[in-house]
Amino acid sequence: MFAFTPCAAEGCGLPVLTGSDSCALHCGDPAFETDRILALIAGEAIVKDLNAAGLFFNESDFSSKRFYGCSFTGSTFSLCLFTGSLFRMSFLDFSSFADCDFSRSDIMYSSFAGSRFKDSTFESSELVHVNYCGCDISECTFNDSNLYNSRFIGAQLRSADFIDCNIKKTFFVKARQERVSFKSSNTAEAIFDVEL
Amino acid sequence: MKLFFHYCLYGFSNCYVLGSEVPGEAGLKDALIVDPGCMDEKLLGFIESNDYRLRGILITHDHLNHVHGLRTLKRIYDVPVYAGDPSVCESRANLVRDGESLSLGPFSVGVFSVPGHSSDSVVFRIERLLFTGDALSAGLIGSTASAYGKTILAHSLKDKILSMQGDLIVLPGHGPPSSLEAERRFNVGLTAAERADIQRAALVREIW
Repeated sequence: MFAFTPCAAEGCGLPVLTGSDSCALHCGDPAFETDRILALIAGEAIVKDLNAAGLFFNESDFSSKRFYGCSFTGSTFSLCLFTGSLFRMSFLDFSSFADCDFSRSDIMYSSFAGSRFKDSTFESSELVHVNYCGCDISECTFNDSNLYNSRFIGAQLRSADFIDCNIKKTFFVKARQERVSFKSSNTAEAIFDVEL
Repeated sequence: MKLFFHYCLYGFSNCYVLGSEVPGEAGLKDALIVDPGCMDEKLLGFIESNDYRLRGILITHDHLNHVHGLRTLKRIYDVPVYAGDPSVCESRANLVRDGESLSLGPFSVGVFSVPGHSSDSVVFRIERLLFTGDALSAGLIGSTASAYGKTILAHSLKDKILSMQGDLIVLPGHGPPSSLEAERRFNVGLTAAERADIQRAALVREIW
């Protein structure tokens, strides 16, 4: 699990970036920190316990990387590649993803809670035990994916496709849906309403 | 600290093994297990291959899908059980109380009683990790037998758990992980309980 060493800046309780003594907010040069973290990731096939919370990633390639116990909380990703990547017990909540490709990824027991997704794809992926609660998802596709036991509680889904997905035990409680397709998916096994 | 998540097919519950990375006595590393809903080869293999010495079994509540593996586990390892009930699944347990802090090897475990889903429901805090059992999961709070139970649960969670810092990690008994900040903002169970509270208060005012 990523370390929780608090940032050296006075009054800041945020955890420090891996290899630094401050968080993304208090580091002198966030662009330099992003490059440093990217170099760190590029050099490893398996990335463990990395904290890269609050950084900005543009046109970065995370494809086929394996992330275990990492944090990207509050980060921004645009035009990033995550194809064939693997995430286990990782946190990407309150982040922003624009034009990102998660196709053929394998994500299990991870959280994207409160994140924003635009023009992104999760096609043909294993998305088991994933937290999408409170997410704002627009123009995204989850087609041919396994979403077993994942949760979209309180999410906003606009122009999102869940075609031919396994949505057994997937929670869509209080999710606002506009132009959402569940064609050929097992909607009878998904949970759209519970007694609160 | 190393955290291992295991999905128990019996009852579809989450079981966790939390292990230290520093070897202690006899070269073994201390570890804790939370909610052994099952005890299978994968879990046993993880404990053995990491050279873990279990220091305790933490039970968030005595429901079979969270303790089904306890009997097998106790036959393999002679370790104390810690729960909000003195007897768990035919095993004697060390009773934990609200506000108590346990010291189990290198782990300091905070105990928070959150009755409602069951009378013995507790949340365990270890550093930045919150093992919430069925009391709190991603987007929802635990099911209860009555509206009274729901109110008690929502109030306990609000007062004792949600008042902690937002970057704590929520590791529930079912479903995916979350953070406390995400639960504060998006938990529809808590929102519904708050709304019911307001409606009840308005009704009482109207009657009186």
